[in-house]
Amino acid sequence: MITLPNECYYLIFNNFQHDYKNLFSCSLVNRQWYRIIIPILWNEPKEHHFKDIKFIRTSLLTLNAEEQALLNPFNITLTSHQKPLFEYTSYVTFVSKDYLDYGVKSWLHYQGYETEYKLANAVTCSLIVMFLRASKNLKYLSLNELICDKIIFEKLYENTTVTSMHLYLYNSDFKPKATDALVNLFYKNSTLTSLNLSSNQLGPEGIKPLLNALDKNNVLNSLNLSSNQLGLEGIKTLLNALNKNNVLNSLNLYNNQIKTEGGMVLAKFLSKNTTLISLDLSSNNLGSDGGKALADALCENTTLNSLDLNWNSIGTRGAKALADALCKNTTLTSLNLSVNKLESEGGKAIADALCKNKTLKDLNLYWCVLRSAGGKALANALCKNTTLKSLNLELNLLRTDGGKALAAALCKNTTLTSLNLRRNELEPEVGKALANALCKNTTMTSLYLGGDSVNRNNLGSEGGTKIA
Amino acid sequence: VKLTSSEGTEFIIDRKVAEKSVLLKNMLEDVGESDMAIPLPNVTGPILNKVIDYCTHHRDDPFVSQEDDSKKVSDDIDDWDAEFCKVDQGTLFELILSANYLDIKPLLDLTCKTVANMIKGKTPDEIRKTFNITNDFTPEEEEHVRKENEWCEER
Repeated sequence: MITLPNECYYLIFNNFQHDYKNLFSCSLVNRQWYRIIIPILWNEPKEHHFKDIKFIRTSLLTLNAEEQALLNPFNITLTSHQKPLFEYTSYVTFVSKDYLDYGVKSWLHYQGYETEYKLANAVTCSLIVMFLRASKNLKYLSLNELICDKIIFEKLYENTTVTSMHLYLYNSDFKPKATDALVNLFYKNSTLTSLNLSSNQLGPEGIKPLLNALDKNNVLNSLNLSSNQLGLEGIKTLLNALNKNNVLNSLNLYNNQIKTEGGMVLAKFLSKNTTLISLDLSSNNLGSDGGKALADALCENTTLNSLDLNWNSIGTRGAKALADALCKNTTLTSLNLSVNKLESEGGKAIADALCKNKTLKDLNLYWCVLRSAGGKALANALCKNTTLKSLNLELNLLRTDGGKALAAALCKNTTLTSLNLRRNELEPEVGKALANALCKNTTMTSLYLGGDSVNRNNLGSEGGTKIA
Repeated sequence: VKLTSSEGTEFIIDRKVAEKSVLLKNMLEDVGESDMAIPLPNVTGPILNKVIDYCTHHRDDPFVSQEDDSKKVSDDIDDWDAEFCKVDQGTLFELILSANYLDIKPLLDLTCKTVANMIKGKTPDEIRKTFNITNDFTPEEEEHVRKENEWCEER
């Protein structure tokens, strides 16, 4: 056979990305193929690979003397001390402590050791230290309180490749120490650009040292603080820190009991902020007034692209204010108002705004009680709007009138590519109308229908077959 | 645009067809159009003929940048392309070499994908037979490779 340059082989094998079985067969063909495939094979092991004792066994072979020494107190013999053929683990880009833990426990069990916590922890620890040393391309690391471990922290502090870290701290005893470790990483301005601290329930006091360190960091651009019980006090500390930071542009504050008062503080901040691009405020009970305050902020803000206000009791009044904001704002491209009881009136206001707005691409109005009247107004807006690409109207009691109006709008609209009309009590004639509309419409790529037993869409067989 | 293959055969093609090759495109931009034939010492006449067939058929395709198509799967080959790739193995590999040398990304992707499809589902031994490859692993080595990587055997 004609020999190809390695880069061509690489292209051939790249067709098998994540297709481990075929890659494995190829790796056994000859030395050249093996050398090219190993980096692809070890690049991004999946959850079930980390949990596989065979994966753990090979990974343990790559421990160096220092890492093996971590296991000395435990009287544990590693399968064989023969060096592996390849520096396999140098290619790994993703390591999860949780998955490793699972794999380590299975491996210990298989080797006949007691799977007691200390031993399993030590083995996992040695493996993480190894990955932090060996992997030249480690990008994503998921860790728990092991971040407090001296050796792991030292390695992490020296590391210059990890850009994204997920830290889960369920053990309260370690929370302050782990936060301190993070503060040190922040000060060092490591390569870390994305940090996920969700569901750690750190509270306003617990999170304080970390937030105060934010103004010294100019690398981190994405922070997930969802479910951390921040409350009003925590939000104030956060905003103080953000006022001195101009790098952080993506913030997730889902489920933090921000409430109306917190919403108002946030709105004041947003009206002047020029850094934030994406903000998730879902499930925070902001209320109509909170919604209104944020709407006013959107009239002034010119940087935010994406805002998530899912499940916030925004109500009709909040919706009207947001509609006004959509007439003025020219930067927001994605807005999620799902699970807010906007009612027909709120829907109409938003629809009117869509006639003027030229920037919004993605609007989510799932479960907003818009009813037929809201649907009709939105249909009218779709005839005029030329920017919206995706609209979710699932579970809105649109019924036949709303559905027919929307179907008619699809004959005129040439920008919308995705429309969700699931669970809207639509009747067969809507099905027919939609089928006819789709014959004329050439832009729509995803139309979601169907429903559940209560709010089902009864499109009838004729409508259904026509759409199909 | 005039091209000469390795054995000196001359080919005359449209500039638009020639520009499917990034190598030729850059060359034409550098020197401008001239009557001089561009020599392609790495490409034989029959292979160049095939390459020109491909570029002519795809002359109006939009240019796809390298980042866009990283996630293609190996079974979305259209009928014309599939027919185009029904050649003997030697020709197929020569096409890969030429596409790589002339820098014609879509042709390179297509031919590599075709080879990938020939590999798919085969055992190492079957792959070696298909492509006439000698196994240069020692038995011990092969055993090690198998053992150290068998975590990915099943899935």
